[in-house]
Amino acid sequence: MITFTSVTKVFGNGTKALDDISFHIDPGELVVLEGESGAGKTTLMRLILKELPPSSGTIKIDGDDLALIQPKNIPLLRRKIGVVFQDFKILYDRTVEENIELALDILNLGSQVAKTRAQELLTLTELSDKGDDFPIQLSGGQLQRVIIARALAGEPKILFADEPTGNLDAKTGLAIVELLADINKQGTTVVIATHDVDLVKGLHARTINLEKGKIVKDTGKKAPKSSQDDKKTEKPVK
Amino acid sequence: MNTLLNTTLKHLRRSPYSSLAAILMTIVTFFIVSIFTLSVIGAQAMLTFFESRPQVTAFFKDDTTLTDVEALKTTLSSQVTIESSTYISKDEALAIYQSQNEDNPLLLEMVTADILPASLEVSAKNVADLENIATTMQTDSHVEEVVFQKDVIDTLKSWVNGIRLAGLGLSSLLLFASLMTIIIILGLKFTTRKNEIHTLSLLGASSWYIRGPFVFEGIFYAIVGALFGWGFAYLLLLYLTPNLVAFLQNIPLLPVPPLLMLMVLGAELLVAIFLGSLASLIATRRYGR
Repeated sequence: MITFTSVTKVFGNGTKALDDISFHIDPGELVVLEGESGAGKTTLMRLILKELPPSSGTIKIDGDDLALIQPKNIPLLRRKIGVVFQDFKILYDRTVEENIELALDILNLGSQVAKTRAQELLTLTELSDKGDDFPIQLSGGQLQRVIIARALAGEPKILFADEPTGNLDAKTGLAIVELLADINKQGTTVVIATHDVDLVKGLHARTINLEKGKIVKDTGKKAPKSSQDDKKTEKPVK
Repeated sequence: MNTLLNTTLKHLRRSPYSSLAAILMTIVTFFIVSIFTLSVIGAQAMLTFFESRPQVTAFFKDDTTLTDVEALKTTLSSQVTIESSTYISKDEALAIYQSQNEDNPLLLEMVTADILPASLEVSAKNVADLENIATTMQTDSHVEEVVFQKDVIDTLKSWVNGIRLAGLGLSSLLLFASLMTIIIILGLKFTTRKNEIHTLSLLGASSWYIRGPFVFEGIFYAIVGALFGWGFAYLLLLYLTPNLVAFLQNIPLLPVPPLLMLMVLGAELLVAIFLGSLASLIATRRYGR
């Protein structure tokens, strides 16, 4: 699903954000990308979104070499990837529901379909009573859920969560991580980029450690948990 | 399409004053464009009217016979393409004189057919041939006098060219000013929404999804400007029509046919769509970098 081969990213000022990293993530995997601030997690996300080009190396998403994707087809790539942005990137002049519907509108779904789907996502993220609220009226945890709902709107193959627990207390952060794990169980490839080791250590997930742009540890793909291990109730994504 | 239009209307509602500034500029532009377009069309029609009238008139000596007149017509036809030629005999000249002066019995009593000369009025297909016709007539021994309206035509032509040049110059300048106004206003709007546009782009919005509402907005400004500018010019024309009719007397230019006005509107709407699209595409490309 995601393949990095000897990828290096050096910025114009000479900062080496990623240094010859290679990894492969299979469809349906749950991966924690762990590293301190400045380790290169956000740069990696921006490379996946083709917001930045790599200085060298090859990136493949869902079999497509990003270097060969024409600029006009970049939106199609981005629709495969739901992103939970560290800085939310929410539109504060629109309601919660409108923010979610925006992502559906981009896909050119009808307004009725968009409304129905937005309601489903609000239910999934336990925000069904917040649809008419504006982002400024929500708590950090609720905002994070809105962004997750928006990221899931287009039923992406990959969900990339960049520091999804960054500004949250431990309990709310844990709830968000559990929500992401639930989404992964529906078959979506989920990548959680975080510096908070404690919050994700309970997850049965492959962990890739980034340090100063290099991969220092990769636990490799985890075998699926048995159904008895999983006590959580699965929630419908669609 | 609905989303595009809704987003366009939202943009307009959010910054009504800058939208108004752009619309006012385009109204002034299309008002001036309409005025000059109508002036050029009117002046051209006036020129055509004069050019299609008998332009060269030869007055014959008293002893001239119809055979002599026919000989002159044949000579003229062999040199240039004649649009029409009309022979007016002494008696016909008297009838014309009487109809023109029927209110003045004293003048009617003083004039008989004998003292009025027979004449030949000639108009050419090409106005440039009129001078040749006049020269040929002047060399004919039976011709007493030649009246040639070349000066009138030349003056009118220079007026038409002047109006055309002034209209083109001023219209081009105003169209350019409108273009720049729309570019700047849309550019500012695009810049203030940069974060939103970046978010839309990261969510997978296509280039048209992002730029479309701005393009529609630019076209909207220009179309509203064209409609109002044309409308004001038409109202002004209708208001001035009685005075212009009195001024132009027997030149049949007014009232302007509604179909002609609709054609002018159609042409201006096409220019408006081009102007709005060009301005918004330039703005979104320049400020969207």
